[in-house]
Amino acid sequence: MKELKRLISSDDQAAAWQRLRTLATASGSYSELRSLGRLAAALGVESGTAHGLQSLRLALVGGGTPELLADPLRAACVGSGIVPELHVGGYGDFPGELLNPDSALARFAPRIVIVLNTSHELLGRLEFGADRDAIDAIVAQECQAMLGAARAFNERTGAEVVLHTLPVLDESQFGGLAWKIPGAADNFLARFNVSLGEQAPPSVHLIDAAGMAARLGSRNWFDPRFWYHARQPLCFAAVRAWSDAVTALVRAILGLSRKAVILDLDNTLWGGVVGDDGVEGLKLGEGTGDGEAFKAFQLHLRHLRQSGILLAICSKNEESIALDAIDRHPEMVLRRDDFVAIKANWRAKPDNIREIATQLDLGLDAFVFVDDNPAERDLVRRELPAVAVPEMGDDPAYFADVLSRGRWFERISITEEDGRRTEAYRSRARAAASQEAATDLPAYLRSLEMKAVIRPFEAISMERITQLTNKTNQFNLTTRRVVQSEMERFARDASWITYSVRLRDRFGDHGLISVFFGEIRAAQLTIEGWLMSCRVLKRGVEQALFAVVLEEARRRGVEEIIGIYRPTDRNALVRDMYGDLGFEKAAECAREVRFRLEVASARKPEHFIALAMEQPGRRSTPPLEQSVQ
Amino acid sequence: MQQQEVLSRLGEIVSEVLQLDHVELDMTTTADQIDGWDSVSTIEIMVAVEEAFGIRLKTGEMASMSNVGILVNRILAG
Repeated sequence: MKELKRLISSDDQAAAWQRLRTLATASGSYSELRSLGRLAAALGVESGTAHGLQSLRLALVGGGTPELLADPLRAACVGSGIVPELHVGGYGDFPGELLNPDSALARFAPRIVIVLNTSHELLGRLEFGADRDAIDAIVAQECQAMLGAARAFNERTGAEVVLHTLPVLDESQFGGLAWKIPGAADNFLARFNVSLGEQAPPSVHLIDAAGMAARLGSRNWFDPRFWYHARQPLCFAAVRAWSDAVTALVRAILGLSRKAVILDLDNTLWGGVVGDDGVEGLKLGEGTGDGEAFKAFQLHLRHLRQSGILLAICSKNEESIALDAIDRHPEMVLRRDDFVAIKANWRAKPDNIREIATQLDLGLDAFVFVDDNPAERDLVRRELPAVAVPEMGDDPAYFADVLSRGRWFERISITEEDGRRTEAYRSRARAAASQEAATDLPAYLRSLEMKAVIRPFEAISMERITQLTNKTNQFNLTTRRVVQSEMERFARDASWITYSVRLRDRFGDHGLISVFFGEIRAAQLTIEGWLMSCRVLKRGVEQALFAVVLEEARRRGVEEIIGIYRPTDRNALVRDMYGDLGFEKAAECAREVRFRLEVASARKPEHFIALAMEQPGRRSTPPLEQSVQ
Repeated sequence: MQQQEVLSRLGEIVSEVLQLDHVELDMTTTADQIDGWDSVSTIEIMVAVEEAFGIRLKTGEMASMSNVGILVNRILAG
């Protein structure tokens, strides 16, 4: 802290932010976090963004007096790479601030609003002895009121809204009997939380305060003294855990969560060293406590994989021995197919990790590295600071906990695409291998037997469309971030053209991989968003999509198409795309380049993808993912 | 712990919470004499005092804690 203050007073801002980020990640106490938050506020948002942090308009309202949580939250944000422009509401601002179109909150125009709804507001309505119907009616009404306010605010301003599940704050009066009485507080709050989760629309997200309070203990979450004295919704010992939950969710909303785990093998996925102990000598599965713990950790990883997180291996081993253990050990939960990359060799781990990142087309900040060996962890931390490297401890029984506690993989939705991600990456790797074998490009593209379904945005895909739009950085012409309600509006509005693209080839189904949206005004189509997953680069998808756009533009009397390229540090890949599609450069400034194309003289782009256009809502064949098994 | 010792440690806490360079407290100081010591910062000071002196204040005591004399005597009482 002293060092930090010295850096700030000597105006070494780069070093100050660096130090601030480290301290804000490590610091546990309320007082320290608060001081760090204030120092960050004093340095300012502009200084933060100039030193590599991402800015964010963030609001905190409701639930007693949120003021004391503002600075710690700011600090926690900084620790996770975000410098917030923070609006803090006063006492009792919720739900009025969300509902009033001219409230201070609405005028602030946040990207994300954190609403600290608390159990007290709800428990005030609880009548002991009320029967089940009466309780259900209160739950339904309160849920609707809360979600209604959140939804209204989202629709009016586009902000994503974060609510809290409601924890039990006091000792139970009834013990197990509570679960037989709908009007007992525990029972009532559980019903409310379930309803809240089930009914929350995609633009409303939840912080699981109930789950956190249960894990920490209710007296470590809430201190009644501070509630009675000053309406503090959390006790100060809980502020770190709460801030971490908020920042993880914020990162998920911004599409910044991590995407892959790179795992060591010996003493990480199994007990023992396979090169010395042999496959038969490994501790894994029944027989020993350690073996059970390693197996449980593998199960945890498999669940991560099934929810869309990629797994890869980086281990110092003979490749043949490592693969033999993965294939042959009867208790292995994870098999070769569960991994998108396996690096078992004697090279330095940072080199292997860099290679995996290149192979998967992911930035290093998408990875978490899990290794039981402190020396390897230290090396990766020093060589690749963007990779997250948790302290795993030396007991496999806690490995899964450690990985969960980091909240690296927080997500706001899990779609069908997520379940197929590993397969998609693996088939891409196979296609890349076959590309190396092919000599000319058209022959190779033809050999892929690609089929695309290009359709206007449909309700069933909205979540995936929004998710892809917000997390795609490289093939993304405008890097415009959106909320789902905005995308739904584009889909409804006749002056917009929207398309999503699903692609499959002979190696597998890639799912929904590209999104396009543009607005027609006075015979001019302006392309506001065009992006594609990097899984399917250089396949001619953009050409196929543009052929469809061109046709639709002609049909609707568009005379001129305007393409916009907004450069970021990640999207140089598509700098020349409009040029390659036959557009001319029309205007250029530092923020954007505009291209134009006259529809009358435009040529149809060449590609090797069979197209299937289907009318939304009148599907003659099942959706692609169901037709390919 | 002596009164003077508590006063000086308390001065450090108050200046840290209020982000002031140096706050000199005596037994007659009250919150309204110190820049920025409002009801919100009182709670922060309470939290820091509990952390620093290992005491636990009762709900009823919190309201009177913007009076330094009372606070110091409470800390000395343990």
